[in-house]
Amino acid sequence: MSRQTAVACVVFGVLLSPARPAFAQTPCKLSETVSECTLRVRSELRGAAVEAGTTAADVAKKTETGLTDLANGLSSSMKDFLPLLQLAGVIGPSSFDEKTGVVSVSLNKPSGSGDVQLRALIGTRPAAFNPLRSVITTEQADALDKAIAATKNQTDVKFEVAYNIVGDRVGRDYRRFQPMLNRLFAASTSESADRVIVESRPLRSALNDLLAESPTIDFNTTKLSGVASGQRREAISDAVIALQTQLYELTRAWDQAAVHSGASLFGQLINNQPQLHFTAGYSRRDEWLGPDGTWHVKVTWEMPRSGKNLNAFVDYAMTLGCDPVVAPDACAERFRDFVTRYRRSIESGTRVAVSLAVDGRPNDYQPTLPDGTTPFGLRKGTDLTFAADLGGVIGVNDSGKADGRWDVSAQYQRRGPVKFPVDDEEDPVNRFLLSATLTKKVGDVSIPFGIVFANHSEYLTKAAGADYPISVHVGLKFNMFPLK
Amino acid sequence: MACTSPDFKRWTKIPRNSTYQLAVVGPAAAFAKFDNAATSSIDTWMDVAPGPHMEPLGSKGVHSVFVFLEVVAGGAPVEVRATVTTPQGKVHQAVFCHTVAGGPPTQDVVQHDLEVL
Repeated sequence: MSRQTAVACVVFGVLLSPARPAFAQTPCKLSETVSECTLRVRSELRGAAVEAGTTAADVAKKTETGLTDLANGLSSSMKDFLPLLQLAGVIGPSSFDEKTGVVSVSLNKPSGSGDVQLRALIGTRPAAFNPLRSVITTEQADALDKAIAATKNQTDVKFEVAYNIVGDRVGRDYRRFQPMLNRLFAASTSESADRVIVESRPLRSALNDLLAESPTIDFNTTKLSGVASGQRREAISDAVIALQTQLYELTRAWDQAAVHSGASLFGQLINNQPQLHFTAGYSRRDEWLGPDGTWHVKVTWEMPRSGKNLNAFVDYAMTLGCDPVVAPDACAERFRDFVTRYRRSIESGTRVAVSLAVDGRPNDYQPTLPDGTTPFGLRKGTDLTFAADLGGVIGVNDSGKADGRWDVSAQYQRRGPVKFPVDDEEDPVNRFLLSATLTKKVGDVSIPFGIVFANHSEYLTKAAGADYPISVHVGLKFNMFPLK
Repeated sequence: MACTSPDFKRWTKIPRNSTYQLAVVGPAAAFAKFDNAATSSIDTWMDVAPGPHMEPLGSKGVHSVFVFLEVVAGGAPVEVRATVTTPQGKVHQAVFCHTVAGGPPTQDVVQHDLEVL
């Protein structure tokens, strides 16, 4: 039996196999190279699967909650500590806020024990300090605005540094756990992956043999019109179609093994790790723009309410006799059990965060207006803020999409006397705020409904807080320019 | 560099003793299987993510590499990058760079054929 006949037998054997999908592929065209034909057939197979009504899970292969959706829905306080795996690289993005005119330049510096993020916020549209502006007359405000506009090179810069502690039990540096994930993943899907190799080998060899018999045919550059023998062209075309059809089926089977492995939830487990986050800031501002030399320090601790994170998996596996840190291969089954059992808790993304912040003004602040008066003053001092946040997603469907999210936040602030000149009768301010927000998604539109309570009405916005210490707000949020 | 390669590539006429380099960059679980045409053995490479894995191509034949990966989370897209470098240190044919979209977890299998002379 000649080699070409043997190849034909292998090809026809596969083409007639009952496992073959019912997608009839267009033969390779004369204008195509073998490479172009291969890529087209691969593409057609996927397209045919879509037309055949294959489930979205098979086509788009979406299996779990997208963390992007989750992160976008987090309350602003929680966005402060998005997982490190979001970082694009060492140099972070520079951005320009059209509304405020603030340019943000950031630098991410991964280090051994943690990650440092540096950021400079540079104001390019100097504006009068709001509390100052609110106590002066309209004429004074106009004169101040003109004076600010006429002054060149005003300083309005805030430097920020953030540090995440990263260790085996704390922090969300994905890179740290990559080897464990790779091994868990391979242990769960390697057998299925081997099938892709072994079962496709006869057809790959058949195609390679056909091409080897015609050394003038280059896989990437020779058009099939350049193959003299029509019989050979047909054999190559059949071999390409048979191979790609078989590979499509085999890789789909592997996809299922991958989904079954639960590896897709690994990222969420890392995202659920507790995180200890430090931020510090220092501001330099010209006189009319605000107090100069102010500083800010904040410590935040955050963790999932359910406690279902990577630490919990490691503890679970250790209890059952395998150590995922030392020998992850042996724990693949335990991992699958864990993510199957606690899937909802892992996906829910309900987080608890507590933070303590201190803001300092090292100097008295008493700006002189262009007319020579000093109508506003702020004493040096420190403010203390304690906050607790709880938030989560609601209505997560089987494809991992959430209908909305909820957030509850409590904040207590103690501020020392600020009046200037000193008023001995002024008491410290104890400000307490409680807020709850429910955000419902309707298609691409988010509708937040929030309620805020304060211990004194003046701590809310002027319009809402005049009589009652409660404000209610309803919003509408949508992306006018979605990414394609 | 644009990262727009499809999920299949065949390098042809690779000089013997060239080096194949593979890396999966981004938040993905990944491993690769190398089907050695000379020995018919299958090697599993666990170090492709983040990589790079370096493989000397010392034997003649059409070897195949299958990269199995799953984007686990995060919104950041994952890139599969591969090059073949000749013994003289030159990049042979085009650099391969394939992007797997981030966001929802996604499985992908990338195939490379290495036709070594």
